[in-house]
This record gives sequence, structure tokens and C-alpha cells, in this order.
Amino acid sequence: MNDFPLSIFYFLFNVILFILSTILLIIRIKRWGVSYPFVKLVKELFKEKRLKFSSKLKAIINTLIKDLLSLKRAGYLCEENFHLYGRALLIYGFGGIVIMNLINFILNPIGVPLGYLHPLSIITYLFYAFLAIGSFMLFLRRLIRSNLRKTTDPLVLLLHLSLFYFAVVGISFYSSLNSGLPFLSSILFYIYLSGISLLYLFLPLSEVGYYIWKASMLLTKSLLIEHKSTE
Amino acid sequence: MEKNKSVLVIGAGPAGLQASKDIAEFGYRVILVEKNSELGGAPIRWKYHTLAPDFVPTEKVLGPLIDFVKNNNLITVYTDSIVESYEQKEDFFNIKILNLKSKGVYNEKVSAIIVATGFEHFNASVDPRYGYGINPNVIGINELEVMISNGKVLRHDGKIPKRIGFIFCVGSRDRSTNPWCCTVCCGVSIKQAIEIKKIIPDSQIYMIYMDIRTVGLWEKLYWQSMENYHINYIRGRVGEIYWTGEKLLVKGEDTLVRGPFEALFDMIVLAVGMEPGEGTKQIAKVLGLKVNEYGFLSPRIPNIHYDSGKDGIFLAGACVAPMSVEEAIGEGSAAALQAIKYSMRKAKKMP
Amino acid sequence: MTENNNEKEERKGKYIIEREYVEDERIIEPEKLDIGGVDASGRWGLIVLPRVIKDFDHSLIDEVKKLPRGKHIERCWQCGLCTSVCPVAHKEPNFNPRYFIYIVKMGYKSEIKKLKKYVYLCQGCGLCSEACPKHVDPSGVMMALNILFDKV
Repeated sequence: MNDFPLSIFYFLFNVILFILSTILLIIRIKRWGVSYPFVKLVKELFKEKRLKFSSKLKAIINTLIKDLLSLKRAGYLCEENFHLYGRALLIYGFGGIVIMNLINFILNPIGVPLGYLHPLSIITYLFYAFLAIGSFMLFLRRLIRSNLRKTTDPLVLLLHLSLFYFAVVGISFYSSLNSGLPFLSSILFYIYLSGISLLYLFLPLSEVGYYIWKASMLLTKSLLIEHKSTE
Repeated sequence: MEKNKSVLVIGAGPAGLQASKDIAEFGYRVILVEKNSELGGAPIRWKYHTLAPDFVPTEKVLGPLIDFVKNNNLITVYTDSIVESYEQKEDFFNIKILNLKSKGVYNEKVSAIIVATGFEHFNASVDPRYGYGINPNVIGINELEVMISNGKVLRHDGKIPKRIGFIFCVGSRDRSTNPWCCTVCCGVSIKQAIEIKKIIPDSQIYMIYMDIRTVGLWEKLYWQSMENYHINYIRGRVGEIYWTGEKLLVKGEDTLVRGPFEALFDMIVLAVGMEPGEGTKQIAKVLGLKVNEYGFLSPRIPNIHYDSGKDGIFLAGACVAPMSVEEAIGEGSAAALQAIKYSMRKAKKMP
Repeated sequence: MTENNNEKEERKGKYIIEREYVEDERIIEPEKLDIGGVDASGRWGLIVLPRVIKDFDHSLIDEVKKLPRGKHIERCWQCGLCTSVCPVAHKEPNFNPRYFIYIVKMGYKSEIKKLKKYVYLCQGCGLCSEACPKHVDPSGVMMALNILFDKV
């Protein structure tokens, strides 16, 4: 990651796979025959003139924080701490990784290794660790309880394992960079890319694709309710 | 002919046939008295197509028994006959057999008696809410079995029914008609629903039930019907059935929705239960056997069916309690052994 | 809710005794009604539609079976074990996994429309799938029902 062309390659790699991923998700939602909630959300947000933009944004952020980020609709009600913490770690870990990768790319486009003690490094490692622990907790929970193991769809277990694989490979790659091992880090770079592409291509077709649809549907509905109540 | 080496078997259903076979194979003589013209009991009279739960053809189970009984020298078969009277002597019974058609009377001497007079299907016209006998296309599971044997399930106007409903617990579990449960109707109805689905693949079949009592290994019929044959189950009861001129309007309550439903059906099949038949009532009077509050023959101890409480008289099969064909065959065998033991004990004059 | 909405809801069928037992969709109260020259507007023209289920519709269950995790929905025999362990059902009585599966199997569209807004409360914890004796995978079926109910 020390040369400029390699970081351009990394950037383009992510962009292309992101577009592919979105296309996969859109095709999947189309096969279900439901509406595209993102489109509806954007339309409601920008075209409806009855409400002020700030109050609409406030409604959306309210739902986002209450229902999704504090997991009220995403696992808080399930009364099982192991499951709740696993879910929380997974969601915050994954969100954090996405944000930290963007921040790292903006502040450090060429990819100079920052060393273990740099604050950006520490925060990035933290989020990767969250993801690894969270996905492993969810996987373990489904492995230990015998009835749950017998009735879990294999794709769900594959999802947890893929996220765990991605987190572990990410940690190894960044560690090899920070330790200054160029040969090892170049091998691990391609393994890391394999982890990323696995996620980009698998997540839209798995449960996560469904949850993304459901989350955007909830946000749209909350906006519609906000509209109805002020008519 | 030794009078202490012959056994009277009353009723040639599965229980009676198996008892006769076991006693003849042992070497004793059998007097088999059957009220109808054909041997085989309810499965033959109502032309059962297959037996639950494995869809075994009825001929495979009853055919060998009937052939054996007809061809064996030790078994004397009296069809169209009933036992008119009996007299208990010290170590044998004097039996008078009346032929219902020729009115001839025959005397026999036997050392033991086995009662296996079986059951009758409930006559659904007694229960007026389904309109059985008044509404066309309302039939019982016994009549449906005949249709399935012929390979064609048709409405009264010859058309193929598309929407068929089965109503469970007709003439059973009801204080107004019969309070007991017939044990096998659930399994038999589900078996018939699967057979109809094989004959008419695009039909929609609805089982309107209160409970599903497919006991023991018969449970697989229930699972198969839902998972492989897409048969629908409505938990609820039907209150009235009207004939609209074209279809049957069925009014009932769906318990799981907690609401009423009124839907049009092409055909309704009533799972009519078992009740003690005329043969059982007559023989109870002749032999002086105890009858319980339901009309079935009452053994001395309720859980031991063969022991009637009267010396030398043994009970087997559906005249004691509703049961399946496999259980009746087992009971026939058990009663045969008891009759032979009793005869041998009497012959050696052992207590 | 503004006052306009409240007034609208109140005006409909407000003369019905024990009005809370009747759902709004079943009340027809025309503003103007003329029967053969006689003015029957307002209270006199009020009709309450029956809540009787008239027909069964099996197209919905065919759609659920096509979605990958809903393919075992036909195994359900309505025992209720899924609802008994569901943590959401204990807090929100309208969320009843067993009942959702039943109304989809029998195709009771009127019931589906009533419960549309409760079906997305599923947390995806998987306790129902663990409890189900027939391996229906209710948590997977709930995902399929979320998608289906949005379309009905």
C-alpha cells in the first residue's frame, strides 16, 4: 500500500464492488415485488414542501437513533443479553469500520503505515475487534444451543463466519503493515481484498440485504407518519 | 366331533377371522357365525380401499384370512346367520343358530365362545345440522371409501369436486349423539384426503377439526398431508350446511381467528364414528353379557378386553371399544388363545 | 392527530352502542342516501358489514413459498410454541407469529390488512425457530411475511 497506483487500485476496487453490490440489492428487491424505500425516502425528503426540511431530518434522525442505533427494533426486545451485545458489537463494529476506512482514505490516501499508537490506528483496530467479537458471539450462540443449531439456516452461519473472517483478515493486514513486513503485508493485502469482495457480493444476497430494506422502510414510514400527523 | 374341542366365533370381521385362523391352526374346530352374506366385516362391507397409515391394500391384510377360513376343513361357516339362543351345560354350551334367509335352525355344541360382533358407522341423519340425506354431496367416510375403491370421486351430478371439506367428530364426542371418541376417524379421514388429492390433484381439501388424534405411528399421515399434499386445516366446528342449488354453504366458526366463516364447498365428507351395532346388541341380550353406559360390551375389568366376566365367553374387537383393524386382529388372536386354554382346562377337569 | 381527523373518526357510527367492538372499515355511513324518494341520509342509512370470512385465498402462500426462507411455512400446525417463546409477543399482543402464519395460509386478507403495522416488530432473535417442533423456521417465515405484508 505504499505506492500511489496501488491505492488508486484499492479505491477503484471498492467503488466498483460497491456499485455491483447495490445492483445486486436492487435486483433482489425487484424480485420481491416491493417498492424501493430509498427512492421513496429521498422523494419524501426533498419533494414534499409541506414540512420544513429540518423537521423532516429530525424525524429521520430520531427513528435512526431510537430504533436502529439503540437497537430498539433490532434486538433490544429479545431479552437475551448475549444476543443483544453480539448484535450491538456487530452493528457498531461494521459501521465504525466503514467510517474509519473513509476517514483513513481521506486523511492518508497513499497509505503510509501509521504505527500501533496513532489514534486513528487505535480506533480502527477497536472497530475491527468489535466486529470480530460480535460476529463470533452470534456464531457461538447458534452453535452451542442444540435446538438452535439444528434449526438455523446454514446461510446465516455463513454470514457470521464471513464477517468474522473479514475482521480477522483486516486486523492481520493492518498489523502486518504497522509491523513493517512488506512481503507478508503484500500477501495479506490480497487476502484482505478477498474478504472485502466476499462481503460486498454476499451481504446483499443474505439477511443483511433484507435488514437494509427493512431499515429504510422503517425510516420512510416514520417520515410518512410525521407527514400525516401534521396534515 | 368332540364337543370340548370346538369354539364358537360370532362375527367374521378382522377379529373373528384371526381368531378362527388361530384356533383352526391349533387343531380345534371352529363354528363361525356371520350375520351378513360376506366374510370380512366392516372393511369388506364398506369396501375399504387401503388401510392407514401405510396405505396397505385391504386385500393384502384380509384376503389371506378370508381365503384360509373358506378353505379350512376345521372351520364351519354359517353366513346370513345369527346365534338365537345358548344353554350352558357343565362343560359345554348348546348353541342354536338361525339362518335369517332360509329360517333353518342348526344345533351345535361348543366348549367356548368368542364374541367379535364389531361395530356400525354412525348414521349421520340422526344429527340434523349437516343435512345428511337431505343435502346432496354430503357423504360419510364409509361412502367415500367406496368411491375411492372405484377410483372416481364425483358429485351427485357427475362433476368433479374442486373444494372438498372433511368435518371431524360427527356422531362422536357429543352428548347429544355419542359421547365417546372413535380413535381412528382422524387417521382414516386424513388418509382419504391424501387419496383424493392423488385422484384429483388440483382440488383444495379442508379438514375442519376440533382435535387431530392420529395416535402412535399414524402421526406420519398428519405430517404427510400438510407437507407433501398441501391439505388445509381449519380448527373450528361447523354449525349448519345449506344447499344453494349448486354448492354447499358451510357456516362455521374458525377458532384460531375467533371469527365466523361461511364458505361454499363442492362436497362435504362427514367423519362418522363407530357405534355398537345391531349384532352386538342382539348377542348381548342372548348371552346375557354386560353392556356399559355407551352400549359397548363391558369386560369384567375395563383394561382386559377378552374377559367378559362370564365363564367361557370371550370378547374381541370393536364390540368392546372403537379400535383400528390392526388392534382388532391382535384382540382376535388373544381371545383365541384364551378360548383354547379354557377348553383345555375344562377337558382335563382342572380348576 | 389534529381535530379534523378526530372529528371524522367520531362522526362515523357514533350512534352504535358499544362502538369500540366494531372496526371502522366495517361501518358504512353515507352522507347522502336516497332510497326511492325517501331521504335516508346519516343515521338511518348506517350499515355495519358482517365480519364473516367469505372465502379462502391460496395465492399468498404460494408467494411466501417462493421466497427462500419461507419455504417450510406449510409445515405449521398452529401449536403456538413460537408465540410462547417470542419476547415481542409478550410485550405487544398484536404480534403473534402463529397467527400471522395462519392468516397467510388461509388467505384472510382482511386480517392481514389489520395487522400490517405490527409485523415488522420481529427482532430476528431466532427463539421461535429453536422452539418449533416442525422446523418451520418461523424467524425466516417472518422475514418473508414482512415482504409479503408490504405488498398486500
